[in-house]
Amino acid sequence: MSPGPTRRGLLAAAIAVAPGLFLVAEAAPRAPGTPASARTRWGLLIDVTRCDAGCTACVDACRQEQGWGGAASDVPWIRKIEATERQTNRSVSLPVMCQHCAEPPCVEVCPTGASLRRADGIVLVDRHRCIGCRYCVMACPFDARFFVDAEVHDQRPYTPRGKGTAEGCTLCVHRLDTGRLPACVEACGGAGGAMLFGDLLDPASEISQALRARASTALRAELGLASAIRYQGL
Amino acid sequence: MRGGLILIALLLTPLAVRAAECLAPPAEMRRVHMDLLAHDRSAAAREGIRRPGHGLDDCITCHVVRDAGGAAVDAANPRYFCTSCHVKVAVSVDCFSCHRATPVEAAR
Repeated sequence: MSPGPTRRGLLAAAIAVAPGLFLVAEAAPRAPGTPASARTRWGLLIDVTRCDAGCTACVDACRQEQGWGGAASDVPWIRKIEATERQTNRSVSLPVMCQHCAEPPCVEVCPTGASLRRADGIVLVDRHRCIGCRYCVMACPFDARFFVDAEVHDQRPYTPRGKGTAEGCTLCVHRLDTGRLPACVEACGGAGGAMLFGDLLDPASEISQALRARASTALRAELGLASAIRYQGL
Repeated sequence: MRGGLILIALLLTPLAVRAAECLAPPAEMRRVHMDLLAHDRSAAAREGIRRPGHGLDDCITCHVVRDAGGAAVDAANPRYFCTSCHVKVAVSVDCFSCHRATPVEAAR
């Protein structure tokens, strides 16, 4: 065997979080100058039974990485919610962010093409084209698209943000494109490990294997939006 | 004569260094920078095509203007690299309503 990469991804980092459950960084860095590929679809499996109600590691990491929060306007790219089953009173805690739908309503309603779905399935806002109409904010069934209504200063160099434009979780494209895990996934791995990230189109990826083996669901599954974010144990 | 040559060499040195590192010589950049920015921004934001050295943050890092105290001046300052020309020709720069205008280390 040659010492070269045996398959795409080369499993840059594997953090054991429980017997049989691994958090695997499969985001191999793309060669500079190449576009995102439709042969990849990034996705996330969140095990809510492992998500602690008091833990906000993913939210804190996202805020720190992307630079939102702190201003007067409330734009929680990711938030923790409590969901309670009415008949049984079973309560679970889970993070909610852009679900990176295969059929994103935000893209459908956008009048300028600013809301877009990248080839690898990541749903983004191209702020160069955003006119701040807020259609996407209203269309999103997950309350995961936000409008920035105040001037922003000291943005992260890799995450431009500005007044008058819509925004939401980018699945940390800037990190994925250089082979790193999203900030929330990385933080969750160090705080309990409820998140499994990977390529949904690679049948050999950890996440594909987990999705085949375990029951999971999409939020608002009845809408048929084919989210890239799946939840287990809801 | 000799002093004059040294003076010219000193004046040209920053230009030469900058031209070597920039995407094109200054004369060309003055004409085409807006096309480069518009083209690369769509490629990067929409398709994920990231070209090292072509990002706006690369421009900003290289063309930073510092005040007497060594702090990077913001886009509103008339000495700011982009602003120094754009004010004169009355073309507003929208980039910095979303993009950070100064290198990260300068803000700390």
